[in-house]
Amino acid sequence: MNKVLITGGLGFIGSNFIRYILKTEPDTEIINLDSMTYAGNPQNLAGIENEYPGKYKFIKVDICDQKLVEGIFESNNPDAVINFAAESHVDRSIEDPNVFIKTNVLGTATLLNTARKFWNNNYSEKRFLQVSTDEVYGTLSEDRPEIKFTEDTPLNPHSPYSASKTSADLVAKSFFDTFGFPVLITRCSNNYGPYQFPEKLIPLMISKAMKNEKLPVYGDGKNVRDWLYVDDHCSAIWTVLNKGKAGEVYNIGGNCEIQNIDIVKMILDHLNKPHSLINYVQDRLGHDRRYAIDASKIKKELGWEPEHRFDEKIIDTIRWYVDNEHWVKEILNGTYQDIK
Amino acid sequence: MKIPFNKPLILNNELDCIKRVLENDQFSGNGEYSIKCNRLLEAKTSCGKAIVTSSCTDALEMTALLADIQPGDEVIMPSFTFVTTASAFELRKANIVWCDIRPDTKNIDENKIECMITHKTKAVVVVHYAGVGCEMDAITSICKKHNLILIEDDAQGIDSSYKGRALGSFGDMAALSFHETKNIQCGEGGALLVNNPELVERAELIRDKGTDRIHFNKGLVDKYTWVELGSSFLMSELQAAFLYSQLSDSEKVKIDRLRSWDFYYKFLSEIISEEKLPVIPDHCIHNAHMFYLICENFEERSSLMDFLNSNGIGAIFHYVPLHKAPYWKGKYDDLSLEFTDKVSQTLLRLPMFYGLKETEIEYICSKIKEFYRGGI
Repeated sequence: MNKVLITGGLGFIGSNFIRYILKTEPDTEIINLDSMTYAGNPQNLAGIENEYPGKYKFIKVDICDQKLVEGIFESNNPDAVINFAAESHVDRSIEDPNVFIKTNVLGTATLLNTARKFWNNNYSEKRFLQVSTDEVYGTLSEDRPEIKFTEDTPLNPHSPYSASKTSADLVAKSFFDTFGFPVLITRCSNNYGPYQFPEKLIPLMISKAMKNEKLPVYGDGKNVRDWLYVDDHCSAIWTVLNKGKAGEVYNIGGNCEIQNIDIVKMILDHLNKPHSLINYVQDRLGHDRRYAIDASKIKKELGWEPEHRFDEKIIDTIRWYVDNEHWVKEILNGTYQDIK
Repeated sequence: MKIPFNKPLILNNELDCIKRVLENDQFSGNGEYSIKCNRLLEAKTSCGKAIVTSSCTDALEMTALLADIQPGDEVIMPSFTFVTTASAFELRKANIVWCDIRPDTKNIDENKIECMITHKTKAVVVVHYAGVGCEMDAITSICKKHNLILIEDDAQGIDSSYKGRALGSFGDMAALSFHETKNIQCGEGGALLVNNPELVERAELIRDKGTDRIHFNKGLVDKYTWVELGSSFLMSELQAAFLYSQLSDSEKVKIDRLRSWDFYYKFLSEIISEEKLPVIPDHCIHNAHMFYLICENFEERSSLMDFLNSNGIGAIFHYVPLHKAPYWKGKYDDLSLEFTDKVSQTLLRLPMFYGLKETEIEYICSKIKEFYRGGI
C-alpha cells in the first residue's frame, strides 16, 4: 500500500498511526483527512512534514462532505483507506447522540461510497479498513472470566456511541457482501498511549492526579477493560491492511484485562499521590461491565501479537503525560474551547 | 460579457461564524476563532506555531523583529515582489540586496543567492510567486551552510506544496496573506508561521504589543508588562471568524481554481508557445492563485491588455520592480536584473477567482486568440 488515505489523523489513534507508519514504512505516503473537531489536535503531528518530506499531507474536511471527499480522491488517487474518524467519547454520546450517528455512520457510508465509485470495480490492490471497536459486542459477565468476545460474538451495543460504531461496522460489511468491495474490519479494545485526549480514563486520571485534584471513578471502579498499547494497535492495523482477507473481521486485543480502579491506583502510586484522591461517582448510564477480547484469529491467520507489556507501557505513558504537561495544559486551559 | 480580474471569495458560511462572535462577546484578538484559525494553519503546514495577524505585512514585520534585524544587516530578496516584502526590513534599517528571478517560475533564482552573501548577510527572504514553490532544497541548504535566517513570503501560497511539503514549512518563519485578492480572504489579514521552535515564545510577545500578556493569561505572572519590541499585530475576532469559515473550506476552493487554471492552460497552449505560459515544476503542487501569460514585449502587453479590457475582461499587469521604485530616489538605478526587468514589462494576469466559469474562460481565450490572429 503506497498511498494511504487516513481519516481522523489528528486524533489519538490516527496521529499515532501516522507517526508509526511514516517511521516504519518509508515507501508509504499518507493523506490525512480530519475535520478538526475538539479532539483533533494539530500539535499531535507538529513538524511531521519536515521530518518526512513528501510523505504527508493534511486536508481539512468533514468526511460527510461527499463532493469534497470525491474531489480529494480524484486529486490524490489513494490505494487504501483507513477510517479512524469517529466521535469516540461515550459520555458525550449519552448527552448528544446525533453527532455520533452523523460522523460515525453517515461519514463511513460517504467514504465507502466515494471509494467504491472512484475505484470503479477495479479492486485489485485496493483496501478499505474500517476501524471498529470491541464495544460493538456489548458487555461480558465478570463471573465468567473464560468468556471473551470472538469475531462471531453477536453484536449487542449499549451506548449511542457503540450503536453508531456497530452501524458503521455493518455498513462496511454490507459493501463487501453486496458489491464485493474490499472491506476489512478491525475491532480493538481500549487503547492507551501518548496524545490521548485528556477526557479519557488514563490521561484524565494522570492530569487530575498531577494537580492533586479528586479522581472521579465511576460506580465501584470494578469495570474491566482490555488494554492495548496504541503502537500495538497500529502494527495490527497495518498487518490487517496488508495481509488480511477482504470481508473479514479481526479482533485486536492486548491480552490484558484490568479493572479501572487498579489502573487509577497504579497511576497514583507511580506519581506518589495518596489513594484518598479517589472519588467514587455515580455510575455512567448503561455502563458496560466487562470487555475482554479473544484475539486468536489475527494471531493464527496473520501472525500478529501485541509486542508491548502493560506494566511497562503504562509507566512510559504516565511519564509522557508528565513530560508533556504543556500539551495537556494547552488543551485544558481553553485552547480547545468545547471541552467540557 | 464582463469578467472582472478578481471576485473576492465568499462561501456563505461567513455570517454564521460572525454571529457566533456576537454571541461570544469577545471581539479583540486571540479569541475562539483566532485560535481555530491558528490550529488549522498548524495542521495544514505542521508548523509549530501559527499566529493570525491583521495583514501579511504585519506578519512580515514580525519576521523582521523576530530575526532581530539591526541597521546595516543585509537581507537578500527578489525585487519582483510586493512592496511590503521589502518595507518590513527597510523599517528595521536593513540593507536590501536584490536578487534576480528565474525566467520560468518567476521565483528568486536560487543559483544567484550564494554569490550575494557577505559577512553582513543576516537573512534571505523568498517569495513563492503565484503560489508556486521556490527551489527550497537549494535555498534551505544555502541558508543552513551560511547560518542565515530563512523567511518565506508565502502571501500567495496557501495550500501549495514543494516536494510534498507545504509552502511555509521550510523557513524559520513564513508569512501568509488573506487579503481580498487571495484564494482565501478576510478583507485584510495574514498569518505568521513559526517553524523554528526557538522563536515561538517571542513571536507571541511581539504580537501582543511586546507585552507578556500571554504569560499573564496563563497565570504565569501576576501582571503583564512591556518585555519585547513589538506592536499590535492581532487580528480581530470578527475577521478571524470570517477567515475561519473560508479556511475550513479551502480544499474546495483549490480544486475549483485548479480546474479553471487547467482549462486556461489547455486552451492557451494551443495558440501560445509553452514558454510564455506559467511553468509549474513537476515537484510543485500549486494552488492556482494566478494565471498569467508572457507577451513578446511591453508594447504587445499594453495592446493586449487594452484589447481585453475593452472586451470587458479584467486583465492586469503585476509588480513594478522594487529596486526601481521612486522611494529609493534613484539609489538602485544602475542595478540591472535581467529577468526581473523583463518579466515586469511583459507579464499579463488574466481573471482568476473561485467560481470562474468554463464559458468565461472560453470567451477570454477566444479574445486572446482573436488578438494574436489579428497579428500585432
